[in-house]
Amino acid sequence: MNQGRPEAAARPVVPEELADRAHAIVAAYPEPKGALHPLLDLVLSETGSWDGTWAGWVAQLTGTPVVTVHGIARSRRLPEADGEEIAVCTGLSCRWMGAEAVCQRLQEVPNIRVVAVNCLGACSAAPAMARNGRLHDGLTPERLDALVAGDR
Amino acid sequence: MRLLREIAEMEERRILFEGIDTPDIDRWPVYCKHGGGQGLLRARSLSPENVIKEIQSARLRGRGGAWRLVGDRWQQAQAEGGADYVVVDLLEPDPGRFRDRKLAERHPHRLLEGARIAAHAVGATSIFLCIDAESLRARQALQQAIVATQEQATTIQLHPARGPFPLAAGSSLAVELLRGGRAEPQADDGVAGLDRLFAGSAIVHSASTLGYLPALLATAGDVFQTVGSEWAPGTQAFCVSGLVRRPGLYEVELGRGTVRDLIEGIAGGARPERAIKFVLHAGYGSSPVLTAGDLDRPLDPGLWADPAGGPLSGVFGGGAVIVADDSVCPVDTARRLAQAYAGAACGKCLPCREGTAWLAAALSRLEAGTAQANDLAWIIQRCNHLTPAVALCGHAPSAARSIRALHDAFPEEFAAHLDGGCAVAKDLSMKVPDSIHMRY
Ligand code: SF4
Ligand code: FES
Repeated sequence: MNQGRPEAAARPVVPEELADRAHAIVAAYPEPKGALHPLLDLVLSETGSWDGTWAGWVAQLTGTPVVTVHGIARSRRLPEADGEEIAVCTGLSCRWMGAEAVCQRLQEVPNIRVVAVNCLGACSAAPAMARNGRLHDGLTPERLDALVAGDR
Repeated sequence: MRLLREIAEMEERRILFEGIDTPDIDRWPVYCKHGGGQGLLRARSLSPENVIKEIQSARLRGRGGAWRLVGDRWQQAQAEGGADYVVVDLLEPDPGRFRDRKLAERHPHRLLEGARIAAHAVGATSIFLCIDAESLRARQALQQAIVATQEQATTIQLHPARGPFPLAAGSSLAVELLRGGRAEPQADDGVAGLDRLFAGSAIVHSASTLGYLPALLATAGDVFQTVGSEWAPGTQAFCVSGLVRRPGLYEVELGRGTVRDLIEGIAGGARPERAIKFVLHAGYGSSPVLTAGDLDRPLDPGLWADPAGGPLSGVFGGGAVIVADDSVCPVDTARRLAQAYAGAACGKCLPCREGTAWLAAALSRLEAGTAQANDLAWIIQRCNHLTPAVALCGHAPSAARSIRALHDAFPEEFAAHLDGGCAVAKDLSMKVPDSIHMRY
């Protein structure tokens, strides 16, 4: 995966449907630059990770220098390209309600990358985790086991 | 010994979350059937000036944490020629806060109606909802609500941006994200009114503030007449989390009851065999630490805002209440907070970028029992150094205040970590509370 500087020549192949959605987003702003963050999110949710070759596309759509787009993207929370990632909240409430035990249990499962994040906004239903962007809160040992066993 | 104090009966009083339990309230026809939309209808039958007057006399204050009078901000906006955009700040990066997210997920039309009322009052034709891109459920609910209520008068656009975001950054962060800039707050120009956005101006409100407008307009301000304190009429929805028996989101009347009534009353108090050790009354970045002796503070932001109010003054915050019992170590808490702040610092100000990272590292050493003799003194010195004078936004100062407050509440426990570590029997097992209020 290209995590370094975007290659000037490398341009992603953009499916038509994605391009249409991108243009609709840009059109919603009085200035195209306003669409930068939503476009980064669009790329990330469609491709699952940040590949530097997309920077040129976003730059062109928003009239922003490529290097700026790339810099902003790399300062964001970016998912890794490969493997399944589970984000476990280790914020205070989750920590006290058992986040460490959640991490330990998940680390026993092969092919899952466990990342600690700060607060998933589900604090009253701690402990919480997000799997493929979907929030699972109010975790108990049983629910966690069921989730892990679930679709594998 | 724990003193047994009287815990007053505290009841929920829903204005912001009124109707939230109604099945399918996130659907437009259901929302309308239960009185939704009346506030906007009435607002549009009034001139913007009259809407502003009504909100001024209702004394609605912003619920994001700064508690500024909404009507006065609108009047100022009008005096500056009105605002082109209403920006709804749904970012909520503060630890322990999830109220705006719940409102968006479960009661999206309430939020949109409030935003449209604000737009009418300040003369805006566009509304932007600035939200953490990873709040998928809230995004989906809002998008559906936008589609269901598309109209020509005001356009509403969801603006998802990826975190991390600085805590207590103020209104300039959402505006900067809309400008397509880095997630960096801008220097506060000291004007409580408008921010520059595109070739015009914007007024930024937190989602919960706007959520009060439908009820206020529909009743001509009546709902605030008899509810709340004089300084802050109305209610506050507190996000109670941590080690209590019934965590959840509780909307209660302001000025009636104390922190103790909230935590030990309605939220059920400590788990069996446990005692409340401290409470982080957080949100808006700062996390003042309340220990057992402070819990009888009234839930009235006006009293906390009193300049003579002592060390807690001015930090009523945005409604996050994180409760720790005697299984929690304050040094561990400070370390975790420092790590969260260090991870979310945008890096624009050197003292913040370096200072929060250094604090996280030093507190980790302290917690692990590997700190040098002078580390603790250094930690306190760094905290004292991270003032608003060296930071562009509230992120660094609130990190410092929180850590300092934990130290000042438990100086012996901090000092004990210099000689070999922690005396608290931590319990990091998975726990299940008795119930979770307003979960959905
Ligand atoms: S105080 Fe910290 S978070 Fe705020 S602008 Fe400065 S570096 Fe960024
Ligand atoms: S602390 Fe885990 S969701 Fe907020």
